[in-house]
Amino acid sequence: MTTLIFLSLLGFLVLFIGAFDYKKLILPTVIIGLIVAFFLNAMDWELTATSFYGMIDYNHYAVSFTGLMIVSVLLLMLVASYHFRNEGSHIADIYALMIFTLIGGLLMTSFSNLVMLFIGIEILSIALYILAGSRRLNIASNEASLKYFLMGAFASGFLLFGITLIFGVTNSFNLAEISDFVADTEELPTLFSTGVMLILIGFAFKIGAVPFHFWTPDVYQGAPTFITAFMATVVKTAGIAAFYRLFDSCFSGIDGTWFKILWIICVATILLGNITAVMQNESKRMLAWSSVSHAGYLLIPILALNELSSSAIFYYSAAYSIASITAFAVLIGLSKFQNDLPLDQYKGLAKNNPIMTTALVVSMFSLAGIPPLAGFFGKYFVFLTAMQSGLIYVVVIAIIGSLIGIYYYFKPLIYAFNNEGGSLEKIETNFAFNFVLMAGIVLSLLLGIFPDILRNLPG
Amino acid sequence: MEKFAWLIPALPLIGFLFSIFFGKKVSKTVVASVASIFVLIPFILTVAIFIPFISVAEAEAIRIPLLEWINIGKLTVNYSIQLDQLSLMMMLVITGVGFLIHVYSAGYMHDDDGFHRFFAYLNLFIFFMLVLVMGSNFLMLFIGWEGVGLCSYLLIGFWYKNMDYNKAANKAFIMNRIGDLGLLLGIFLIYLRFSSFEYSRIAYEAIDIAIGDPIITTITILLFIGAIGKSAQLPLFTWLPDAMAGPTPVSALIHAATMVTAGVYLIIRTNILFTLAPFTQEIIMFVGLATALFAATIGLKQNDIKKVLAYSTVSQLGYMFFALGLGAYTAAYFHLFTHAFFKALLFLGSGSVIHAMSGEQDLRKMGGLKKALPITHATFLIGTIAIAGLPPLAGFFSKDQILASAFAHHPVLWIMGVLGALMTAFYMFRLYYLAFHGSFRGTHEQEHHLHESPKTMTFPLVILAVMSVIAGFVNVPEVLGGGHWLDNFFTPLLAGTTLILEENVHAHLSHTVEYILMGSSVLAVLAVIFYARIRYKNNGHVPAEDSEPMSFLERLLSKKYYVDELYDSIVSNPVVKGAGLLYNYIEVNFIDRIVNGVGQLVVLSSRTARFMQTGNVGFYIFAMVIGALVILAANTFLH
Repeated sequence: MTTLIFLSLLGFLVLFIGAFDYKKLILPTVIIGLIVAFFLNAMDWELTATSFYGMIDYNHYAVSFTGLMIVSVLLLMLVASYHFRNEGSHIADIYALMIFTLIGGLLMTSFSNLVMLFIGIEILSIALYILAGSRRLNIASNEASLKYFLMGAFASGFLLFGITLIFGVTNSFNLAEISDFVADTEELPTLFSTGVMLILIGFAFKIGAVPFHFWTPDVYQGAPTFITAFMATVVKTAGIAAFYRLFDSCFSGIDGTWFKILWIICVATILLGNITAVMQNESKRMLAWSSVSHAGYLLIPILALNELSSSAIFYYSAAYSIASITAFAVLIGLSKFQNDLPLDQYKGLAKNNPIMTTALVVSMFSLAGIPPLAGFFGKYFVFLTAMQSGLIYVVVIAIIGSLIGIYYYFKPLIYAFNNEGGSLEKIETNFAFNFVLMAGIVLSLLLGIFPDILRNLPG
Repeated sequence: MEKFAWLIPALPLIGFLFSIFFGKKVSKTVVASVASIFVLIPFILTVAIFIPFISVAEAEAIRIPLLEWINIGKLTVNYSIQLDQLSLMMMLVITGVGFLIHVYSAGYMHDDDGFHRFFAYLNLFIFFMLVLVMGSNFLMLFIGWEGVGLCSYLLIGFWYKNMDYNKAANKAFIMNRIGDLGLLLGIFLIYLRFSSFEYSRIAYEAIDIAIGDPIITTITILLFIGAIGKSAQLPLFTWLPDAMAGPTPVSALIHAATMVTAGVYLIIRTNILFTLAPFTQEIIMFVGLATALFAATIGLKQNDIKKVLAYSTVSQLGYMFFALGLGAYTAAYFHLFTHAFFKALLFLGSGSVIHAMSGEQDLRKMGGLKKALPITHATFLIGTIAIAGLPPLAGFFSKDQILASAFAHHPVLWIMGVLGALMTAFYMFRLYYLAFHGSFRGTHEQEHHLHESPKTMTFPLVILAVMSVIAGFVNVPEVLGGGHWLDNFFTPLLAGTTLILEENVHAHLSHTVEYILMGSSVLAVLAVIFYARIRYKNNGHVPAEDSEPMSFLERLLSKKYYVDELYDSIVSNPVVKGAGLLYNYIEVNFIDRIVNGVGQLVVLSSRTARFMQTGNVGFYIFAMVIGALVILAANTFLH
């Protein structure tokens, strides 16, 4: 559990450095801190005991997802350092909040108690409400923050109500005890399944699944771009990891009502996300809708709920996070702080910016699921999991969704290689930014060629 | 030493990455040195593995798993290396000859703008070729197989500004695709039959299969189709002569010494399956023999120095397949081994000639080059004698072993084989006398320009000439006092085949018969050489210009039996016309409309869905509540 404590201290340290205005120290501290956190986390691999009075169970699943989130945050911090290169009044606050969000995410992947789950979600969400509004003087950023807060609070209400009902029936917050209760009880009361539904609604909101997705495009567009990237990757990964952890350990044994509802949610999310993305002319909105559709794909292993599910979710999250971070990084490189980023902004990118173009191509191909990139194998493993549980229709619909996806993922590429009306000048980048792009390209390829290096981690 | 085996393919790959990314920024010397050293080190490593390996009698194959590649359900495929008699021998040729050709290219390509690109492709080729022979399963083989095909394509079309060269590259690629389809289907069928891609597993299970099993026969035919494409056998051979559009070192490395022999490697590797399919073996034997003779007759009338060598390569590959069809796997490999040296030597020698002639390739414009190019001349003569099959040079021993197997099978086969050998001797000495003897027939400017090539180019020639002399001694037959080392060395490789046939696969001929066979074929070859000498040296005969009238037979040969034209009219044109028909009617009227209709539907629904996104928080929360209510209601009623 050293990672959790270490990250908390790191967050405070960054705040202090910011308060005393040692600007040059902030980024190195954050980066070294995250690297240390990554190794502390990896050292907990063999740790099997639960901690904090059985409220946290830091198993392989938790370690894997925590590792993924730390790497994602690290890459995003590097992008942020480029994003804020000319600005930096409250950059320490933003870094500290991102680290606190990471702590929330860590709890969400390692909880073994519903209270811990709720605390994790709230730590993550509250930091995120502020981050969404971190460009204080920008009206869109403020609007995004407020919208996200209003609707997030609303969804937290559902979640908490659901947890309360479960507690009312089982008299426990502990996952193992709830699981035992489910196994021992012949006929579960309706109150229990209502609780499950409410929790499901809460999660559906957090990961942006239909019909609780309405906040996603507006908030994604309004928030500063690298916070959008953060929401689309780390937050989504944490949400889906918690979702699976809870349903796998407690609700897999109960009868199939939640399954039918989740089936509809899943299919609707894939279709609506992909279809709506087709007509978007604004890059962030397009990526927002694309992220809605990916949430749908990530729900498939939860539907299937078999022994392949956890590795499929993990691999897909990793592939999706890397590709998204790369795609958003390119977008950040292109944008100069404005909120509206029309798709034709990519026009003529290819000629003078080889690294950015390669990164764009690799990330879009990976998101669209084209072999041999990681995104392809992510989809493949998800479909394999679904087939194992006989979810043939879901796979068919998901493949149709992917086909539609190719249409809009190729749009930026077509613009990028179109030199009519002049090509873009060479965009000035720094080392950290190029490093993220290169890392994104290499990781997407590497995971695609050697999928097994990550696939069996969560076990 | 084996634990460094992964470095052998890895280094050329690193060399490729270096040349492609940094090649433009560093000098040509650096590019050439890096590329050559990254092939030389693998060669040294291979030798270091090879020496302890041969000191053990009947050494077992070493298998080194590197990484898990695919692990889904029952299917497990690893990136793993198999070091055994066959792969090590292949690696020696690939890295050894490969290194020499890298060195040669440093001189040959010196003034080319694409210098770094050329070395990048060469290194990439070495990488894929090593993957092909070092892998321990069919999928690794397939990666290498497609990879070398790609490199071959890139290098044939290396001078991409010439449209004809691009066409030649396309032709090679497309013809190979036909073969690749066979190979791929063969691999699928192997997986269906054996549930594994590993050679060791397949060999282990195949021992219990009855001879003539229909599935095995199908598998072997499909694999052979793959080999036909890659090794330019009838009917898919026409790409190889056209592939001479690439720079000459490429012809030497890819289209003579290594890549085109991949088909032979494939069949030796799976010899146990082929032994189980006598029917396929018959086909291979006839295809091989037909190719050997067919290509040799075309070679008689070619006037382009590289085209002669190209048809000669097709013909020699035909010999290798002939041997494979006879079940003489070692003989086939032996010929592959010696051929790699003398054919690389001949190609590099022709490159040196072309270099000296400022790009001229027509034999009719050459003549008397002996004085101007002494080293090229001497080494070229050695190569010519080696390929003609005169003792004690390399080609004699390998060709003799194939002919002896043929005789053991049926004397008529031996006669056909000798006939091919005679034609080989004739066209090779025709080429030699036309190029190096007589008087110079080119322009004054060319004559003024004649010069021996630089040391980087003559050094590989000398090494290869030495190898062409001594390579045959690895398998001297008993009758000549040798210990046929290669036969013994390959015993573990052919263990399955030996077990199935319950006898030794080598030909049993009495010593007297062997002496007679050898003596008569050597005498006949000498007679043919003598004839060529009189015709082209003493009488100074020069082939007629293309415009002059020719007899029917001459025209038939010089036009390569009109095979290209035949393929155009029976395959290409119908396919192109059929495709045009399908496009104009089916595609435009039906498929396009359906596809566009689906697209319009998606766009329409996308427009509609957008309207729900109003930006109004009140509406969003309202929609969420409706959603939650529906879910809770469903929960109550479905329960």
